[in-house]
Amino acid sequence: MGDLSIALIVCGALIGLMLLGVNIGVALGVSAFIGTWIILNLDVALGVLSGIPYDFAASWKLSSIPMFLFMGYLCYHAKLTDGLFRAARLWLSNLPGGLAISSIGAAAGFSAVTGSSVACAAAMGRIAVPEMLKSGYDKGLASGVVAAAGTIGSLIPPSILLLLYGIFAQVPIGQLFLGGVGPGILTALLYSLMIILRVRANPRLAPRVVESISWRDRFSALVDVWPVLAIAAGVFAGLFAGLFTPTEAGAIGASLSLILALARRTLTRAGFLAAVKETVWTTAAIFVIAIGAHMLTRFLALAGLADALAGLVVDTGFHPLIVMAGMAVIYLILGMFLDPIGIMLLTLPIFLPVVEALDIDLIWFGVLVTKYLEIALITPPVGLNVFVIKGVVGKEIPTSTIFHGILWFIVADLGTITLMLLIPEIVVALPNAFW
Amino acid sequence: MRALMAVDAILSRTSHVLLLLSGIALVAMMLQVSADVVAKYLFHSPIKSTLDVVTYYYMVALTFLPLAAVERGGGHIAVELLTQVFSPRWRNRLALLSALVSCAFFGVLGVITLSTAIQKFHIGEYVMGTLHLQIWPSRFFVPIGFCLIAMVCLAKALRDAFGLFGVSQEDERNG
Repeated sequence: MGDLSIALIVCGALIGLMLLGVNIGVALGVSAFIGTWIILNLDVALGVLSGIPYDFAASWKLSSIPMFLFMGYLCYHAKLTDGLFRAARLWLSNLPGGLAISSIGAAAGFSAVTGSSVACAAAMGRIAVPEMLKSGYDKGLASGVVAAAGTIGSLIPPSILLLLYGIFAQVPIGQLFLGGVGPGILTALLYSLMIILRVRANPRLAPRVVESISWRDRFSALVDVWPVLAIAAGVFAGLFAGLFTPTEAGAIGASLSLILALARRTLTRAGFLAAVKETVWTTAAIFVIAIGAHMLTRFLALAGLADALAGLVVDTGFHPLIVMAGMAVIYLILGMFLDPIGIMLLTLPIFLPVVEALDIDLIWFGVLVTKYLEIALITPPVGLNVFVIKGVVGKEIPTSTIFHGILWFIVADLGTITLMLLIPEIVVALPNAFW
Repeated sequence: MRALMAVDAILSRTSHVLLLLSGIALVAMMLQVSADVVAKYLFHSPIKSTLDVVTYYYMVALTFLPLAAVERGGGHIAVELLTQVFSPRWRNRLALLSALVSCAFFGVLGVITLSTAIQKFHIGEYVMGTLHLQIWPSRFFVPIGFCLIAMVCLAKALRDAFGLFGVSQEDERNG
């Protein structure tokens, strides 16, 4: 049997293990180990096991991940960003569906301090959903908008998905982060536009909130949120200007958030410990998968599968756009039962050689994959963001209603993806302007 | 059975201590990196070896020490969609299989990284950055993390196999 057929069988075994509920990192590592053993020998396979975990974890680049995670969790637990919804509301509530659009605006703001969509959805869910329900908003719209708006969290920097992608694809983090800004804003705009059109067509979805808001109120609401936004702006300016490495940017962001939280006395001891625990917890869970993915990458390279696949795709002569659209379908299917970080780490070893062979811009590809994965967060049957919102709203709104409310946002997302595919400048214009 | 419960209590406490240590590594990393940036730009005198300490100590601690605690809390990521459709009996069997596979994988990793760590200890592994930094001690974080998670998986497998401890998974998660 040739190496390629062994590699294919190993990939099949990997999928089987995962479907049976084996931890993704373990499934990746076990398949890579057995595959290497078969095509070479036990010594090489054991060598991979003994070397990769430490070599992978002992990495300065990777250290940006816990730092940005910590910054986001600190802001969340210190409720530093709770004022964002109030501020967005005072500025945007006159629009049709104003509260829903305010949730999107607030989520976009929160995205600048967190790299996780799930955290973003959780933060907005706890503040915005009760307000919308109180004002008589349609339950599907009220819950759907926060679940969907949360996905902006992984596009606007910082972004854990983009960090992981950058490390695996060896693309500069600063450029990737800048690449995510355009699609993040575009997503927010298309969501808002869709809400306005829907509410125009059916005003009962979102009863107009009558309140008189003075300009004074509007500006005073900004006073509440500017420090945390200034921290984010400062940190990223430093990163993009090349003053900070990503790790330094994350560490400074976390430190400043901590100082701000202490100054405002909004961070309890329990909140601080929760932020530490969740950061450590998430970091370890991500890195186990990443270590397994690294082992699989090594194995696939040994077996030549990734190169063979790349050659195959190039030989078909398909236009890169077709290949990218095809990948979108694969990501959406995987997204139905796997979490985004798992999918990212699982597919990169196989897809990156294809992308490189086709000479596709790696920044564009990374941001596009992130956007694909974000949609997976809100599609049934396993939309993680939906379950987060469900956890926040409790019995009041059934899961099916939330998924129903999200349908229109998925339509808007298809628009965003189409635009990103057809006009790569949406992604690459900003990074190119800086470099 | 009582012996196994005692073992479980020890595993629980040990994983908690390791989780705590990795939390300390996280906070230390944030403080040291920030202090280094401040010292670098304000006083033109960076903190020596920050990059190496972050890389070879904090990162290794953060990655491997929490493994067992995350496993105990069900925090490792797995596909749950298909297992949901099986009957409870089959779900139990799959959980057993999954625990055994994890136990074997982490156990092998634990043993093999331990031998690497001992080897690095004997040669006194170090890096030469701005300071001469011994890094062999952090090599031991790896087998510690892997061996403990392997034991947690083994305990899980035993519980799945015999329903031994008489505590449901929910109780344990809360505990």
